[in-house]
Amino acid sequence: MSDAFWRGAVNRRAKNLALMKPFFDLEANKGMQVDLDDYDMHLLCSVLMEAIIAEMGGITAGAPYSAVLRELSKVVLKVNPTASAGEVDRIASHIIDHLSSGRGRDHFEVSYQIIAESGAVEKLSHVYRLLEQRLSPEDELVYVATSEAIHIYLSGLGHELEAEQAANDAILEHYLRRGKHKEAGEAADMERKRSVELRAQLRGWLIAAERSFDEIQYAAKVLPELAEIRQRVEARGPVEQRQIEEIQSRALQLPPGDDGRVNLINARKAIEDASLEHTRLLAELQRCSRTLLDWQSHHRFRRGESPAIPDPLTGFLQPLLRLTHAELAIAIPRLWPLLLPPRLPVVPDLPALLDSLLADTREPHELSELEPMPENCEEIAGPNRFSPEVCAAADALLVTLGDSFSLSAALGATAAKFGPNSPEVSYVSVLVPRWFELDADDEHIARPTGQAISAAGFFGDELTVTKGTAA
Amino acid sequence: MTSEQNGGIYEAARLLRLALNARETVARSADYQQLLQRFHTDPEFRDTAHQIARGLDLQIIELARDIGLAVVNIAEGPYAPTLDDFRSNLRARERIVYGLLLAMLTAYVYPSRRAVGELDDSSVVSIELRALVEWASTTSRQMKSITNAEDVANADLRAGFESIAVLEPFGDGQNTLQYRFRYVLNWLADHGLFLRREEGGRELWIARPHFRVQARFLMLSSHDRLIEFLGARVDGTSNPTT
Repeated sequence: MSDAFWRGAVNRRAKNLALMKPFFDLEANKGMQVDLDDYDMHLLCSVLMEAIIAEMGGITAGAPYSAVLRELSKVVLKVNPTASAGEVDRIASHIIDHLSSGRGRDHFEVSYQIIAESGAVEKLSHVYRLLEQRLSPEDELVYVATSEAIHIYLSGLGHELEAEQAANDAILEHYLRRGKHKEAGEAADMERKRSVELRAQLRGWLIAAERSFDEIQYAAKVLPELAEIRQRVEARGPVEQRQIEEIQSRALQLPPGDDGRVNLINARKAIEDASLEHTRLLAELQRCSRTLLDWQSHHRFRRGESPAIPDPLTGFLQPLLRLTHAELAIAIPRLWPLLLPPRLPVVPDLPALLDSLLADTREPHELSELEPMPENCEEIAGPNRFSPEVCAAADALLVTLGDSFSLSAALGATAAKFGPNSPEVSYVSVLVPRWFELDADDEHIARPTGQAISAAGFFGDELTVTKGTAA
Repeated sequence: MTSEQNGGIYEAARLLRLALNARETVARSADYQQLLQRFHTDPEFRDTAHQIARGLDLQIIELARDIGLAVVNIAEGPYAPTLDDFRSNLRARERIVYGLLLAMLTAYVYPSRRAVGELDDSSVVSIELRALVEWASTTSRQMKSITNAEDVANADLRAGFESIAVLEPFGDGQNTLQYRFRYVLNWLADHGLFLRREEGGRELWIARPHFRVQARFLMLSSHDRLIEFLGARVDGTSNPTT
């Protein structure tokens, strides 16, 4: 083995081993925050990664939490059949919190040593994430595995992706020839994951290229690399087609319902998925190639992390919190609006204003987060109207009071007959004051006496009621 | 000017109109998708869009392709928000507390330079309100205990962290950190900078990529200003120019 080959291999593997630290940390510290002693975190991480990578090939290009929960619960319930849904959720959330570096707030940083060309040992560090959160086209949160995570998960300890794919092809062929259909299915599924990995790798590479224009050499480095990836992806097409045909012909030789046949059908599905993944990748490659060319010609690359950005805690927040109110009163009017998005000014428009003012109903507007959500609003039952029976009973009582009576006397008589909390008392308390308004068709006239009501439980001006109409 | 150029200006202005609304997403608007595609592939069109924005005292920031564009103010132009845009009729002291909470939220979501300057715009950060409240309370109280700040009678001389430290983290009523942070988060969600989602019975607040742009812009713009303030205090001079 040549020295350079040996050095390259051990360096790559050292780095890959270092990158696994977050998984080991999760297992080592499983009892510290959440009691997870019964569970093997390596297994749970593996299940979680499997669920996420599988969903990355789907429409949402990532796994929603429900998918992670569903897959994880299968294993959790095997370890602890009495585990509640809450416990599965707690475990899933704990693993995601850790592997996504505090839900995207942070990164992992590992240090590792390599053997340099000179033979000396050098220390390097690598900053990375294992899981990331993204928004699906429907603005739902989904989880994706980074290329580092996929690589680690697929046990790629220092191999080249292309070499791994070639090896995988050979394995699949071997299993098919030997009639090991279950293993062939697994190998096919691995093909699909490798294609997801290739896409994630390209994406990461593109981001780096997009943001560091000054540091990349388009003609010397980018173009050949793009061509190489495209060649590699294009070469997958015939291979996958051959594999599908091979599987198809073997599946047809087996009787329907046979386990081997089912495994082969699954294998074909996995390869078809991988093929679809490669088609998407090709489309992305073509778009990326055009865009890079355009950037190159117009020098439109953007820089990424700006050295001018202060440290958010020590360079921004702490100095701000140290200012006194008097200083903040000056500083905040200048600083605070910087964080607010642009405000859309309202242009004077008299016709629209008049339309709006005279409109029967307002235009429906987009629901604001500051308003309560409709589903959280409780329906409040309105008060029951007085029933005809209640009205009739109270009217009959008022007739017995004669042609002239006071409001207090009416309330007292009603309370004495029907009870102080009866609806009849409420009805009289509403009916009599209405006569004060002197509607033309009222048969009674109510006039204030200048004194207060003397009936228990009521407050307000006393009225004297006399029979007759205002007209 | 040719009709083709006119069409370009019209479409560039339409793109800007869409980008001004952070709640608009490429996935939901075919128009946005089409215009964005042109923005990324037609240098002349892109220049036109940038120039229109500049004329309106705005700056276009390109996000990842599947997300769209973000727009920030570069001067006190017509689109510049004013303090009244956030819960108008607040007393000055209350306004300052909300301003500090907004700053704390920003630093909590992006606690490191790397997080603010994240290369990949399409990855997002999600937070839980309880953790944010606990962090803000602890941070402000630690700052208070480190500086041995004594209660001062004159509120103008009270430091920002003291105003936060005196607030109860949780509880009923409006005078808690939890209530105020929720208000701020709701406000930001209303403007398309945050999303509120449920996950396993927990409430998650997701900072959209547009929020990172605003945070980056805030931190870049405020650093010099803060240094100027603190420098003036050390020199014993009066406050910097208003």
